[in-house]
Amino acid sequence: MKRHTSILFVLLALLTASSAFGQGNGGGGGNDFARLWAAIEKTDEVIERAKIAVQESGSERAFQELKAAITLQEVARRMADEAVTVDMGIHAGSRTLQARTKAERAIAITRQAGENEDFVRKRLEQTQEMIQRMEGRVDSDTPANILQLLDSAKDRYQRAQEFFRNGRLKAALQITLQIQKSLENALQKLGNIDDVDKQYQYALERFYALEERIQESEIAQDEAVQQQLQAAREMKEEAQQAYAAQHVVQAEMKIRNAVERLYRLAERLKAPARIENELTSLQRRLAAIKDEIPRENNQLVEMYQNAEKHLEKAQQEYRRQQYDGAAAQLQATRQILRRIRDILGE
Amino acid sequence: MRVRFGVTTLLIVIYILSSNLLASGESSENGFSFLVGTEYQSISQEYYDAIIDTTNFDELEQWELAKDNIEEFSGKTTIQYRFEDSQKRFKIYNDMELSKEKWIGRGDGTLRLGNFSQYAELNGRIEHKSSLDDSDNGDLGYTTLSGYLRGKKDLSEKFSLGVKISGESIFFEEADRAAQDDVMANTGFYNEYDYSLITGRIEGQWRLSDFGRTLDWEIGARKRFVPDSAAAEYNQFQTRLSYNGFTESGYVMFEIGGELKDYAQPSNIDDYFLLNIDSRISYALHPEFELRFGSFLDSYMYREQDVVNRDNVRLRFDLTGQRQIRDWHVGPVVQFEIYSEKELADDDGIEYSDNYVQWELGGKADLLSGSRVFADCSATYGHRGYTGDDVVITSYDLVSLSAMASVTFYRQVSVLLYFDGVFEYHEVKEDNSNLYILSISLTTRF
Repeated sequence: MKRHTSILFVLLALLTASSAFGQGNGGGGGNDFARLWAAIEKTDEVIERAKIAVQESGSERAFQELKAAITLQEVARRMADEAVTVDMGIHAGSRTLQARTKAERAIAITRQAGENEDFVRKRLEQTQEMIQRMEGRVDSDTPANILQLLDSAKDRYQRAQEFFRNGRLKAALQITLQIQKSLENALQKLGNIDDVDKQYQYALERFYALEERIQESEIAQDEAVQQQLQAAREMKEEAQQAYAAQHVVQAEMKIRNAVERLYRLAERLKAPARIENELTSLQRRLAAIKDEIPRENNQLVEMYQNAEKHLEKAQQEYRRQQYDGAAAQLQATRQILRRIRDILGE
Repeated sequence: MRVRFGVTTLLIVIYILSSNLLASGESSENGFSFLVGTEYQSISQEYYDAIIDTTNFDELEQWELAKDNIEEFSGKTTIQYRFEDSQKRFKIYNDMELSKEKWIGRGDGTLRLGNFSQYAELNGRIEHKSSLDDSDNGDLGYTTLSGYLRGKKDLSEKFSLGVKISGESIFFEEADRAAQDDVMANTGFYNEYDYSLITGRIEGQWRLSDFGRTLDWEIGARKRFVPDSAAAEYNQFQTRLSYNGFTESGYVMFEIGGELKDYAQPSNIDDYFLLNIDSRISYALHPEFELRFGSFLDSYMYREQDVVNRDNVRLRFDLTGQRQIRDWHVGPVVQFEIYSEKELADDDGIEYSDNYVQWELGGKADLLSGSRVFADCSATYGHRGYTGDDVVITSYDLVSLSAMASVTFYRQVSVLLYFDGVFEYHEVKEDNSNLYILSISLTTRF
């Protein structure tokens, strides 16, 4: 807005030169003509910079703005050449400022990512590298949908290249960004490290480490846990068979799934410590709130007694190593405690 | 005419499909493979053009909605030969695309000797596009020649070195050059020019542990030759250092890079140094919920600042979550971007800039777990607010939608759907800009 004020200021300055313009091109109007021509020259400079910027960016949209700027500047120059009246001088000044704004707008457009050739070229090159990396990873064991994705990405990449070469930069950029997202996902599926063999070996090591941890823990006695362990072992054996048959990519995917299964089981190992902490915390909170409960308020007294019962059941379940049951009882205790606090707060 | 062409193409495709329904074979197996397909494509980019009426004294400027529309129905064939064993890989393919508006032919050959970790690879490629008589989209025909030679070798158990040299030349059709010359004569400007690019790169990888943690570095140089314009000719130097690490529950990447660009023109106009600092972190909060965070910083420092080039910093944060629900991965998307540049003073000493703050919120979903289907889609809504004293482009709301999905049925028959749309709603209607790309293709391999 401030710059528009400055444009108005220039126009007002031209208005004040009315008498000079009225007398033709000579006399005191010389300075005002000098200001007008200085403004035109300044616009010329901006247009020249815009030409380079637009050529470098390759943006059709910016090019249209630049064309409008050039046309307006030609009008301004012609009017200034022929200016013998106040109005013509003012109009010439107004036109050159409009032309400058257009050229600045063209420049601003080239500075947007989707309209900049250099920016889009970099994204295209990154995409090409991702496609090459992925091509290096696929073999006859690669799942069909990943191959499909790769084919689709290559097809879209070619289209993006075509758009890029014909100056449709924004379309090229949008396609490129979409392909990159999809390829990133697919590469994560295949494992993001180039050396699949090492990835397989590492996953196998993790499998054995997790298996040992689970086997030595208390939860190993649980029948459901044993079933999960067995399923994971079968997956590991399938992976080893695939590896022996030199289907390394397939082997790596299978062993990773087996590890994920064990990882979920291992999470349960942390349950006892979490529940013990929660038990202690809730006991403390119940004791703290006991004195605040008015004895005449039967509803609150009953709620408090219920909370104590749930907590006691939670302790029993914990002692029997029934952690899921203990967690459910603790949840009930927490809810009642929260309700008591709400009522006391009211 | 368009409908007849489309129907003819479709009939050809149906004929080929019906004669090959029983054909089978994987594209990744050795030997010849063929692909036949058809595609419908619709692209529309809309923005407002200022039309300058030099004959009318008062109403000089009028706004007109400009549309860059492409709507085409094309047929495509690909022939590929591939041979691969543990020590070499050879692949050569040719594809042709034909529509009422254009034809494109591509040839590409790659030979790799060595295994995955140590190899030398040579690639050559040619692409030609001709705009046909019916074309009214203003596209120029062109021919590109490109290729690369690259190699990678393990120098020790811990260290590997790679080299890549690549080149690319593009020649626009001489027949269309007359139209370009007209533009040049009227405006002193044209934006499609022949050029050649030569790039050289050396990269190294240092494995910090037996698995998962690496330090990668790269240095490279590039030269662009433009016979018709010194302003577009440049030398470029790049370097990059990155750390990649995998943990039990995630992935970490930090990267720092620099780029120096020196244009051939005598002055220092446009020459810059670019500093990038990027990071990506993924962390599994739960076996079924993964959080991904990315930060990307670009800082441009120009040798000479002017109305076009001002020192600036752009910082973007991406945060996405991913939860597995059956075969789908779904999650939220949060993006935040801030751009700050050195303010420029105009003739009256008033400083202005294109500084802005942008945010986007949305969601995404992808399906990759099945065997014959994949899908990847996202939708976000956001706002870019320009914060400078004066801006030539107004603040706007932004809607982005994208989807890519493919399903394979009847063995090797696939349908691909692609949609991408970016819609900008500005404070001033004349600044609005919309783009959408829609493509539906049907292909079969045999």
